[in-house]
Amino acid sequence: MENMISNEAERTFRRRFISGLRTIGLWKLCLALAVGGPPALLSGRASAQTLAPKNVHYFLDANQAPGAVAGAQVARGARGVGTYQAVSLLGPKDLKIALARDGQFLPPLSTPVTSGMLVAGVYRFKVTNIPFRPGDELYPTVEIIDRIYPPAGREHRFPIPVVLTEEDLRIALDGGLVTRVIYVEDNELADPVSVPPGEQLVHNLPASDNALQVADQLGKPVAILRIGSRIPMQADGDLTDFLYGCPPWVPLITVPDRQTLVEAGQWPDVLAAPATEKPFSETPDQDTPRIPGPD
Amino acid sequence: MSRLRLFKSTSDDYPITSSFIQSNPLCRQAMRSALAAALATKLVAAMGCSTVGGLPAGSLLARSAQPSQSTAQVQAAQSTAQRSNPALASNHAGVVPASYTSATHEEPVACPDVNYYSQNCSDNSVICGSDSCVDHGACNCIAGPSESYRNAQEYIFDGGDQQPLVVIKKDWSADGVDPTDTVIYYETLAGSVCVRPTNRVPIYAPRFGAIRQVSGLTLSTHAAGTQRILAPVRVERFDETDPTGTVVLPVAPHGEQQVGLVDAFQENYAGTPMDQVLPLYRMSEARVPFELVDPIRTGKITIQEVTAVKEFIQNAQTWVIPEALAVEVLGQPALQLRDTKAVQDVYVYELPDKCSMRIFKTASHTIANSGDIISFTIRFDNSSVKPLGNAVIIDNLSPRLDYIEGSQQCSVRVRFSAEPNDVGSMVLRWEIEEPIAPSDGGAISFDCRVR
Repeated sequence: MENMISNEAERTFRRRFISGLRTIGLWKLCLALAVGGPPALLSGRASAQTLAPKNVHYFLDANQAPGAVAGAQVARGARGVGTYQAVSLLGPKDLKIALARDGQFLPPLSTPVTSGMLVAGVYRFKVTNIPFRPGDELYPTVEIIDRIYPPAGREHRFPIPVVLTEEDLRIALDGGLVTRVIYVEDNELADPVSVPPGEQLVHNLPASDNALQVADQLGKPVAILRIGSRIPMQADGDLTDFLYGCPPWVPLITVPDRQTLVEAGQWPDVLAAPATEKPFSETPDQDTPRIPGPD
Repeated sequence: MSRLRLFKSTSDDYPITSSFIQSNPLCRQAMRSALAAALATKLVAAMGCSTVGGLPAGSLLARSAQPSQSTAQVQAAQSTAQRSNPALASNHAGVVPASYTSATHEEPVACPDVNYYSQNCSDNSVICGSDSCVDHGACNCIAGPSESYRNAQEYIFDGGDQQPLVVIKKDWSADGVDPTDTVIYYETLAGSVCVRPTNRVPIYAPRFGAIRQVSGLTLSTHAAGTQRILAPVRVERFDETDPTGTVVLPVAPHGEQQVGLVDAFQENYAGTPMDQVLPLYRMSEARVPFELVDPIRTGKITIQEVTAVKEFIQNAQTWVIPEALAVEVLGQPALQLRDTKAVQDVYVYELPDKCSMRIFKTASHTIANSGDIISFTIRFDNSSVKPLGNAVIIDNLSPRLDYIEGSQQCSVRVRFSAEPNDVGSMVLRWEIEEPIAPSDGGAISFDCRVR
């Protein structure tokens, strides 16, 4: 019914448009197009180009204290604030990560650790069992500043990957501060490079530039990871301030990728058969099914 | 008419008449919800009109006429939560939006929004005045399931014709084929040049990147100061600036827009008559299971096929969700639909010489991660009464799609070429060698790897 209405409305519009052409005359239309036509014709391309903000002073920076960007998101009532977003903490082999609850760190888990974290929350976690520096500990923070919108029921299949590389851990242990602004790419502007599963495209930026602004121009920033060398003053005391209020999180099961499931026999191998040299064949009927049987 | 026939044809086990459906408003509403869900169990319940969406029919009117106690409590809790923490006022788990107010069954109200994390209702179920999921029709809502927010940046699109539109040059080449565009252009007997885009196929495949910065005391020791001053510097002029006029508030993530996941068959559902389209005799073997549906195999789109596709979707959803429960009765799945065989009316249309090529595109997956392989299938049919010639199909791939060499296959004789495009992917081009006869068509399939 809606299609019928829309079609009827479209036909009515076309009729009026054609009758209008006959009324005003074709030469007037040409004149109008000559004056205002080119901007209108270019509006499609121009609207796409104007999506990127220009000459905008960014109040926010990834170098600000944890929680500043998330606080701004809360202040402006950003969409998604207060909802849970799946986040996966990845790292080198044998790395242990401990999340915090009720002001204390829980027992460490092996990576990857997947959990649902509140958008606009700042989470501090403990990294132990670092392969090249056994016995040392790091306490990075991850600030969730936005969320993504997977299809309903598939939220856990697309967690935000927070990757802890060996190089970043080494720099942090040596006293440096590594900041990663994680963003979801704009697929129309994406780099045409293949990214193996479990890896991430990384752009290095000088410390003087605004990483949040660059990420905003490449896509949508969703999280900020800060790996420093700060440690709690009292390991056994109340860590609520150190944990930025210890916001709640929801444990999630790490979903294996499709290839892993296929290899384990838990997912049908629906990959297409290779193209053959004989593309023509008879139309199958009931006696000759298209898909051969298990034998 | 076809809807009533569908019900009649499925009434082998549950006799019901169309007049009974039309005369009972509760049944009409239940029928709409049952159609949307395409579940046999709900259909049975709706036909019997004893229950709707798992709830007694009599309780629906009472619930919609006056909010229940639990609703009032939830609303009060929500307002308290909003006062205490405005940040969590919206979209928090377990909170029913305040847009739901009391209403009578005579005046439908707007449906409450459905949050991903608020409840585990199915797509056609919401929380409407109770703590449990009920069917949308039970809410006495005028709209269907609320459209969830989607971000276009997170999708890979393929198909359609984005601005600027495709134009055909005199040398029979195309201009304006942007990345993600898929069009077919051809020539009619009268000499008209027609361009027809396919539907847009959205694939949810977000890819994450990172901007990395390293700072610290050890790295800032290289800061260099001013070495020398060649000339005295003094202040020439001092301009006062008003911070309030120059400061811009934080901007929202740009590039967001609402996108609708239009299914593959919706755009081509109306228009040209499908009675003339004959089966494709030279179609090769189906390469992936999703090509077994009749629109791909024969070019026919029937209401029975739509029902079957919905059944596939429902089964697939039940199948692929690891946490979901599947109901079986005596070893058989509970969701079953009887095949409907009804006599269809035959109409004969006299079509003028116009652009009557039908083309649509499907993908084997709607969600994907990097590294996954996706099979695309393009089906085209000449639904006019005259042959069409010089047909060319162009598919300009997205930068996230990597064409797998040698994977393309076509059911008709074509000249195929794959050239790099401007965004680092490929432009696939099929030139169909022979004219396409009336009621004839073909299918193309190829594979891509998600980058």
